Amino acid sequence: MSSPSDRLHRADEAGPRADEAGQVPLEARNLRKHFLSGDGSELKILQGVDLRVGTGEVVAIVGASGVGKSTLLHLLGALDRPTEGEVLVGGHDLSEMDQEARAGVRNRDIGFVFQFHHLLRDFTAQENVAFPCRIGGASEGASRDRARALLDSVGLSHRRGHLPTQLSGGEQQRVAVARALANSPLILLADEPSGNLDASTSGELHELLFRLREEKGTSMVLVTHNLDLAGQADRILELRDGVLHNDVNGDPSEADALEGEESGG
Amino acid sequence: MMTNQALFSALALEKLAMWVILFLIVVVAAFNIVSTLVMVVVDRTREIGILKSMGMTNHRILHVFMLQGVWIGVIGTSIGTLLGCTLAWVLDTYEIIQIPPDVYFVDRLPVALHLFDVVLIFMARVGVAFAATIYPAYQASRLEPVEAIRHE
Repeated sequence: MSSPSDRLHRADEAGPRADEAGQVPLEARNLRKHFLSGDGSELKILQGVDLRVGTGEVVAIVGASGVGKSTLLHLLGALDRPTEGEVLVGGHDLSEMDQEARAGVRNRDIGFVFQFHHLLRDFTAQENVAFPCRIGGASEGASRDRARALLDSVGLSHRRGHLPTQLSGGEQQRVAVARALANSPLILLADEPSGNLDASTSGELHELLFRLREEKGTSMVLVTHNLDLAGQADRILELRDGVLHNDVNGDPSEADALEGEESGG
Repeated sequence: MMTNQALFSALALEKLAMWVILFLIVVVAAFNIVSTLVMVVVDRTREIGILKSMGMTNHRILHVFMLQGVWIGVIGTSIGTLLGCTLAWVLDTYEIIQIPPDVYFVDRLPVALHLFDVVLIFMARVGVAFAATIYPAYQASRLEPVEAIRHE
């Protein structure tokens, strides 16, 4: 078993670990999530989602607000448990894991980018990026070096000593991307990564995400309303009525229809 | 002899009363630590969720909050002990508090500082601070990551 420092070093040289392990980075089988509403009735948000994301593949998930896109992402990222169904990360079934093991998967195999960056406000950009490495057991020096390299790769080496409040929205989100890649995850999950940015900054972030995909071969699931971002994905899936619908990639009429739904509320 | 016995009994009772007051002060301070840490947990809920999303385990979250509580306890107890010992030394050295000798047989407030008592109270106080961290730290560690991240 490799040490965290070895893993950080290796990740810079090679592609994602899915290649080495020969496993599909992310797979969801018949995923269901039900919530109890205030009046005691059951809300069936997800009703049998099946998804398979290959190595280096980028999948965009689109859909109207409130259909459960973020809920799906939380289930895929081991942040929440499904009512039914299975999520497999690198071939390992999350439902068979206890809290500690799931935390380990979140640390090693999954990177999150949230809409509102969610950086730790009391820590510098470099410390934020180094956090996942430290949590994973890497030494302070190795974590710092890794954070510097990642900040360099997202073009923020000159901002590493700044607190999140001293960074612009685009810079904060780039730091969040760097943090998500800190442990070279099998899969990067992004929930509206550019949802809080202007058009120009969004474009820069999208370019960064796909450049990192080319360089590191990281698989990604992007939940987005942004059709520019979705259009760059290998597949676009629409979440509707609790299930994922067919690939709408390359069909502008469907994309336009989705955009119309979104702008219409 | 009878007069002295009554005096000693009164002093013993007063000492007991002092221990009760001290105990109550410690209890109030312990509740202060509990409420402070509960507020920290509420204030930091989203950060806890972020840390969990990065893979921090429940155990480590528990340790972080317990460490913070114990640290508050150690710092507070150290400052309190230092101030108390200094005050006792000042009272003993400069004989600031005068008392009527016809009632107490001495004309100043006698002060006796026992190392054993100081260490015992210090240890007990840190122990209480540690105990006070358990509930809020447990609360923090049990937060569901997805709920914590959504916390406003």
